[in-house]
Amino acid sequence: MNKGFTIIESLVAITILIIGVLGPMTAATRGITDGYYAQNQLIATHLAQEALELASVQLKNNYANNAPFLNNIDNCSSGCAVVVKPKSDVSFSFETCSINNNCKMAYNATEGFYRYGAGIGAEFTRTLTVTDLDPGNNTQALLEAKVTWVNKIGSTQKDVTLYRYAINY
Amino acid sequence: MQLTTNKKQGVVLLFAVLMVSIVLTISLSLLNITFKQIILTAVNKESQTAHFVALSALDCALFTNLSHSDNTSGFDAGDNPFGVFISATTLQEPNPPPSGFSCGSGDGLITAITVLAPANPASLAHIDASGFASNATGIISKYKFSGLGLGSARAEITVVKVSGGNYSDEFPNSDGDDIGRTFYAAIGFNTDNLSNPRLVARSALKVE
Repeated sequence: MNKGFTIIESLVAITILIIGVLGPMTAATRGITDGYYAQNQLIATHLAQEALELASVQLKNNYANNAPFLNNIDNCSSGCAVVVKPKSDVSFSFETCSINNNCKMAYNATEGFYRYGAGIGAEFTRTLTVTDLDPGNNTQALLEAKVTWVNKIGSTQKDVTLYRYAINY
Repeated sequence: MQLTTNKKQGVVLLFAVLMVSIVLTISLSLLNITFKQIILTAVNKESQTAHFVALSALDCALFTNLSHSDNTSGFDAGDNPFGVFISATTLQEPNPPPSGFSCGSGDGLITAITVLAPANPASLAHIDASGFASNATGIISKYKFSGLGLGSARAEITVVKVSGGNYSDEFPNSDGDDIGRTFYAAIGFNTDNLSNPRLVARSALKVE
């Protein structure tokens, strides 16, 4: 009577194992995907913040130096790269994307921060767009920093966009 | 009839259930950790949004105040929405009473509506967060901002014009005599729903 029961029992056990492991496997995969997303979103947010802060600094420098409101940043009306120089030379500039790897950036292990060009890990595209809100009068501008990246798993494009309204003072 | 029992019955099944339970527990724990990571990074993003909304509101109010000045007298124009300095020590209620103001244009249009309209100069006595007891008189007004492609993000700003006494020591460079000064306190929020449990608020202060 008990002969063969182990086979049935094993089959049931295998079924339970398969069903029971499929769920956790899906959860684990989702966990890894979300982990990557969380990491990249954090990086993207800081990259966007950096772009807006540097653009704001440029506007304040222009005011302090009696330069035109959008001096050195007026080439960003259709998107530009915010180029931060290496650690030894803490300076920055706003350049066209075409000469900066099409605004694609990644972590540069040698210099220790994110730069336009090839690098380690996820590749981000960062563009700064400056819109003159009062053309001719040099008074107000809208700064938009957009960072996009493609999730390693799932191949979906994500983005972080921050805005800053700035005035000439 | 003799009943025979096999004590090994169900051991495989029990083992399978135990294994599944262990794997499930570990997986759910990992998922819980990554879920918290996502919340934390989302809060960081929302915090930056709130920060820049506050700065934008501050700049908009500053611009509005500067652009409502009287070039002849060097003081304020009569329709300044934050109160009108007709001299360094004399304030008046704006005329007409403001319903709000706006900055920018197009996609960068910011609209502010009046929450607390500026009234005639009155006592602004209070004790601020640093313990400083204000003995100031002046005009206080408050506005709520929306727009600027910020989705549901919003900002509020309180503007105080001081015509007498000292208002606060909390603001940068605000020690000493505050007569003739304008205080801006902006708060940016990541969402318009102030009862949202994920609400993030950032502030920005300025004195001129």
